[in-house]
Amino acid sequence: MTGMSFDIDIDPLPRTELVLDLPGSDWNAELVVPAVTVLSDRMLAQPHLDEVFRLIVVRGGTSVFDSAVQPLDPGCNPDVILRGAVPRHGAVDAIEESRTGLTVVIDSAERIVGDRVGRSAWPVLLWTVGDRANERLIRTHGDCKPARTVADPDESSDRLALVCRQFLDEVAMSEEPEVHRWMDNRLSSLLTGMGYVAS
Amino acid sequence: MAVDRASLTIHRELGSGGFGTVYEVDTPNGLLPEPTCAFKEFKSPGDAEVQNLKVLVAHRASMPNEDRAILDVFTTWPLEVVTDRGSVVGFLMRLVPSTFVESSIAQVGKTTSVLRSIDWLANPVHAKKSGAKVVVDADDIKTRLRYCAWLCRVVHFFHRNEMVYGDLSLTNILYSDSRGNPILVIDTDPVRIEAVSPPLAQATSPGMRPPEARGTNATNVQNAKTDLFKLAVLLYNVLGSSMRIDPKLSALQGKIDSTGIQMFARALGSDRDRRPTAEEWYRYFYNRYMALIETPKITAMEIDPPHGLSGQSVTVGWQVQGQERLVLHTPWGDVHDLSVSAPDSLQVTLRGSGQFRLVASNSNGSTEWVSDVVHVFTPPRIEFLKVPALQDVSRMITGLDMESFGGLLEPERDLRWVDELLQQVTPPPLPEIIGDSSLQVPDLGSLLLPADGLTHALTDAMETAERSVREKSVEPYFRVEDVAGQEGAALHE
Repeated sequence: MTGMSFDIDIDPLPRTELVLDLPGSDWNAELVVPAVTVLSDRMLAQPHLDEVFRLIVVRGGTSVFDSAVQPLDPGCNPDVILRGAVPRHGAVDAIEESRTGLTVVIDSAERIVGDRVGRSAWPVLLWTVGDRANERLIRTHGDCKPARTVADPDESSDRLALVCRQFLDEVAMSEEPEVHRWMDNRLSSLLTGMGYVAS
Repeated sequence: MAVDRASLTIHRELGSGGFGTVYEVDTPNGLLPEPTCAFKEFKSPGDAEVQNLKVLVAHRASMPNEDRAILDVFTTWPLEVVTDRGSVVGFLMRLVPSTFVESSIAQVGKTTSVLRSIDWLANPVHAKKSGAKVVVDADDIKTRLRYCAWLCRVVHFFHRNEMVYGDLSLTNILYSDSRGNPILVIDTDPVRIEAVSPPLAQATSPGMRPPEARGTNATNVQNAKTDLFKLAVLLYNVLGSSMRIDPKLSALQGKIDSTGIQMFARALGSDRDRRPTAEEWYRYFYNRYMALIETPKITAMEIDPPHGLSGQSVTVGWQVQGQERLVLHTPWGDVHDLSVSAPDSLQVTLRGSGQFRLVASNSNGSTEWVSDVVHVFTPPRIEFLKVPALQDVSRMITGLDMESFGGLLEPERDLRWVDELLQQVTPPPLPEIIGDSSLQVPDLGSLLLPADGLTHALTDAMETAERSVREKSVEPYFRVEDVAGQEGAALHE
């Protein structure tokens, strides 16, 4: 029966993508490392996430980590991930495309440019940091036109980590992942007390 | 009897999520032999959830002692509801035994404990890399068959007791390396009892939605048939060490036999009535496991047809159990290394007489079976000649029965004549005296055209044809359009 095809009727396993886009060549370690740690820990502790979840880290416009071709090893430090030093196995071309996803662009409110948002294949959550994040919130949102813009002048790492973790639990592990619905129904409750604009 | 939340002594929080929180508490009087148990407190239970919880507790209480004992060993079934000021806020269940916990899974800069769900069984590379204590290699099929058999046994137990599990998934079933009870089913509070539970939405995990729950006529009500679809997906994940299922069932090829492959094809198809029951699965996995721990058995081998002409295709069929490798040797020296999952027959083209030999092997040894002798004959070579029309002899009696003669020459015709001939390989002894009256020679002469007569008829026909050609002054070569039995068979340019 090798080579023979059978008339089976299987729902393809949906894969959900989370892109952490850090436009600068450096990264805000205090903010980003806890989020990457949370995601790494979950991926190490739940093997089936290898198939349904894909974490991509983009730094300065270049993909430095893709969990689909750079499987995490135990003890893999987030710094190693963010530096792009996790060894690659296989080619990205061979990976089945994700069904849906979310791009979180994290950058200074003064520096951020709209083309980062426009280039994303997924809805964008713009996470702006810096002293003037609140002040520039509306303008940034209007200029860049993401799905949501958050002002985080305090660089509250726990909030970003919480958003990432909840996205993993509630979207990536869902049978029918729906990012827009999740943003509409769940995201605002995770950002209570923060400056926040929705399109 | 409901337990008042205020009476519970809470020791620690075991986990929390969207559903609520699970605590370790002192076991109320006599509920369990263990000193502590788990209390699952809902965040905001709906009416259906609360009603169903009461149904589950009552259902367990109504079961025969033997079945209740099985339920308690293989699940974390709700034992009693917990109320707060008269309202149900949660339920008590047994704690997950430590044998179902991986206590040292690597994290970034630390280790953690996780429930050993079959998620880990389906991903042995990840399990090994993460430091799991119980790792079953992908090619350890015997151990995987054993877990599959146990899982099917538990699901069969559910279905025998009218229980629809609903969200069968990689994370809701735990495994241990215990011989006696290697499977534990958790998250049982959304289980429905058929015809008793209130309407209750049961979840489905990614990639597990049955065909009948998709499309325009989809139904969201789950039942034993939807359980069986999900069970098949899990069995595939566990046996194949793979999450992704393709139409070739690639992850199973070479791991189970053709019977198992066919069962998976039925189980994962859209016809829910053809899905194997949990009991059928259990019997298959049990038998396959038992067969693999012994030397393989070959119980039959047949060549169909048993003899034939050289170049003819025949089917070699067999019945084998417990093989991890199967090799077919042909009489002419070809060796077919067959996959474990190959069908139990093979088409071969006959090239020489002799015996086929089938060798089945596994880690316990080899068994072989040699077929009866297959006789292969070389058909007579027929040379076709271009001849002019034999108008005048088209009805000539040749003494040959063309109908039966054609049957001998065409391979697809009945070949029993070969067997009949073979039975007469040793001719009977001739009588010593030619004049023996017991020797009866049939008088065929009167039935045949005399040789002289045949020669004359052919000569006449040729001369007639030549005359016709000369008269018409045409080229000497013609095509024959119609000869067989036609008075006016015509020759055409």
